[in-house]
Amino acid sequence: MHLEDRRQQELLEKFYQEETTYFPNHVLWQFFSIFFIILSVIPNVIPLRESEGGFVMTTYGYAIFAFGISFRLWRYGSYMETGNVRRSILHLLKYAPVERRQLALFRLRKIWKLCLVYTVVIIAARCGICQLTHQGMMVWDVAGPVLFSFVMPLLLVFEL
Amino acid sequence: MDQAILEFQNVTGKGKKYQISGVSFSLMPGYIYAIAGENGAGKTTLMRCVLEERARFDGRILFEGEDMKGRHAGAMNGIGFVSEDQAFFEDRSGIQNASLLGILYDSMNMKQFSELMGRFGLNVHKTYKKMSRGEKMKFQLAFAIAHDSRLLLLDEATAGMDPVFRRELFDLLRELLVDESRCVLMTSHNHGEIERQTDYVAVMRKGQLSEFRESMDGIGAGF
Repeated sequence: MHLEDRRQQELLEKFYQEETTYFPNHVLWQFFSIFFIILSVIPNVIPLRESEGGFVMTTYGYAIFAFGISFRLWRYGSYMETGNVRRSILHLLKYAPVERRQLALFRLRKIWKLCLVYTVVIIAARCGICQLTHQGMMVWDVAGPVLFSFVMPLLLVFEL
Repeated sequence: MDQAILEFQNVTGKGKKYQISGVSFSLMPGYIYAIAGENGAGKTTLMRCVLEERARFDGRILFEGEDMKGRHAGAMNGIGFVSEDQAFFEDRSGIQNASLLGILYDSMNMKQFSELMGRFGLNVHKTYKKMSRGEKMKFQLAFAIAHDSRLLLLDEATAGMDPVFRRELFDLLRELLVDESRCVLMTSHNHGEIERQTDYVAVMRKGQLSEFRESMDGIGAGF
């Protein structure tokens, strides 16, 4: 069974390209997305053993990263109206010929590479720091980024 | 022999508050059908079974001979929905809405849309939120026709509308049905309108289909 419907994915790509024309808030959301993702690197890049706050610091880091991903997903899940009212695209497309699964897949395609690269960077940085300080890596130095920087943010594509 | 555009086969479902049970009937092209019944009879629940991808029901709903389950998006290409519940970009004009949302349909005819809007006396550049209720219904109808809907679902589209609007709407629907490639399914509380303007009536009572017959026969009291 094919999960992806290419035709619907192409139509969604075209729809969102056109939709950009009308909503300048997307620029602001992208800015906040980049800002929070970069900010999240600071607590996350330090290995757990080296970090003074340990798990607490990295938890903040993952939360900030998830926040940054959310802003990126807003571009594909919301639109703004007069009076700063944010509305759901899902509600708008409720009776359109678009499957919710295809919409979720479309949103997934927009963030999975970013999450993957971020996860690899964090693990590589932690590995490098451990090498420099001659400290061993903990299991959560790898498992944590995989779970909280890759798997969990991808779950944000599914609007409940 | 014409194929039914929509067919309910023993549809039993659960809405948020109401339940429908064992509903079976077919809609043939070229006719206007009405679902009548008192509040809570299951009219809108039945319509939602067709419209909503995640509607929960047993039985089958066939659109142009194919089960809608598993191909809901494909079926929605040929279904137009006119209702207050239908959402559009409020700050955008009629033509902006049509061109943007029309991207998602297999066949969206913008020329036909503009012609229909002109015929309805609507300004294509008027923003959606500034349209009156009647204008919004006409806009939605123009949009539905322009994306080649074979089934038009009208959920209380004429509620609160003046007689001129009602007459115009039904005149237009009759024109659209002349080529017998479409059909209309509407819900309404207006007993007289159903008798005069539709061809067949499905009367729902407590979630069940109590009658399915030609209009103009007098449906009787009770809704």
